[in-house]
Amino acid sequence: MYVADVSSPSLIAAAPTTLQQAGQLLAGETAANFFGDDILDVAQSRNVTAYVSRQLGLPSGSLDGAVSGARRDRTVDLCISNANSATALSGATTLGRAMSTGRARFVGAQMAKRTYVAVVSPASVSRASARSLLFDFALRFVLGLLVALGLGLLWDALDPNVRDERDLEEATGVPVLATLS
Amino acid sequence: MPAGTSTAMLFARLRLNLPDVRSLLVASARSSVSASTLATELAESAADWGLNVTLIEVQEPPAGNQKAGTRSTPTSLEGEERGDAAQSQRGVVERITSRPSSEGGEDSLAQALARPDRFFVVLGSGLLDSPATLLAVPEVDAVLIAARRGKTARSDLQDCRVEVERAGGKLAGAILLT
Repeated sequence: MYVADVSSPSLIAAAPTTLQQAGQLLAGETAANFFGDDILDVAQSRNVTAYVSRQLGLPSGSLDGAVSGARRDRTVDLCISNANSATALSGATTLGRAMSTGRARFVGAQMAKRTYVAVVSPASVSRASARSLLFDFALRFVLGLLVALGLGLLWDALDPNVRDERDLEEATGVPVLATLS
Repeated sequence: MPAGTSTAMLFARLRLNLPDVRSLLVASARSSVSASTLATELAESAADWGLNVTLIEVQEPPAGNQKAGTRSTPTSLEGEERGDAAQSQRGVVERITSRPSSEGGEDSLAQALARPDRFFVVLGSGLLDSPATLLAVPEVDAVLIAARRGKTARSDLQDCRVEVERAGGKLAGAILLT
């Protein structure tokens, strides 16, 4: 499995000179963040994956669910997973182009006109590590167990009441003669 | 002793381990542990052994200046007539109440316990919240402390141990109630 990713940022560069301009800049930044989320959602839509598949000459639906990503401030990282590294790489390149220069097709001409999106870094490909996913799962599972065990021990340590004969014997200093129910 | 032991087995064990004990105080750290049920059953078990038993219920002295004392109650658990030969040798259980006082007196608990040829089970309450129960501690041969699983605090039991020792009593054993 190969993974290729491409970053599509929305950039704003201006020096605020007045409070009004600073406010506008802040509003613009917030809007850019929202638009980054939109781009991420749109990139993962079936419409876009179908478009990328067509561009690459792949069967329809072959890239469904293959796109993932994350937004960090105004930068969006997109990733395409595919068994073929060349397909993954060209898919990511096509996806980056579709979400930047070709975004009008997916977000509408008006929205495309009001926004600025550019590819920050070219797509690259690497082998997706299934082992690391398994390791992550195992690590989380073990950590979850440890936390549960820790909470159990803490609960046990904080319980001020007697629970068994040994507890009773330790507290009273005399033998427990019977346990009656 | 394994879990679920009957009171009869408990009494048998007491007789084996503490053969010279003639009076037992059954108490708990705090009230509402059902120590009274345990004491009553112990008294019945003692009677089953052929002992004449006096179950003395320790009560707090009433508010005011009333004198401490011991009295029989009409609710005495008289020995029941039973058909078979083994049970005809059963002892008699009588139930009296006592209000121990630090000043003692002619009708004090000590005097009640001095009656010969009887086995005494003194039914106390919470050692930490019943002064009368604590006053009964030095009068008896041994103290049994009952604790309820999941309800009785360890710290209370440790305090009980200290209080019993301070009062000059002997803590003979503990009973876990589930």
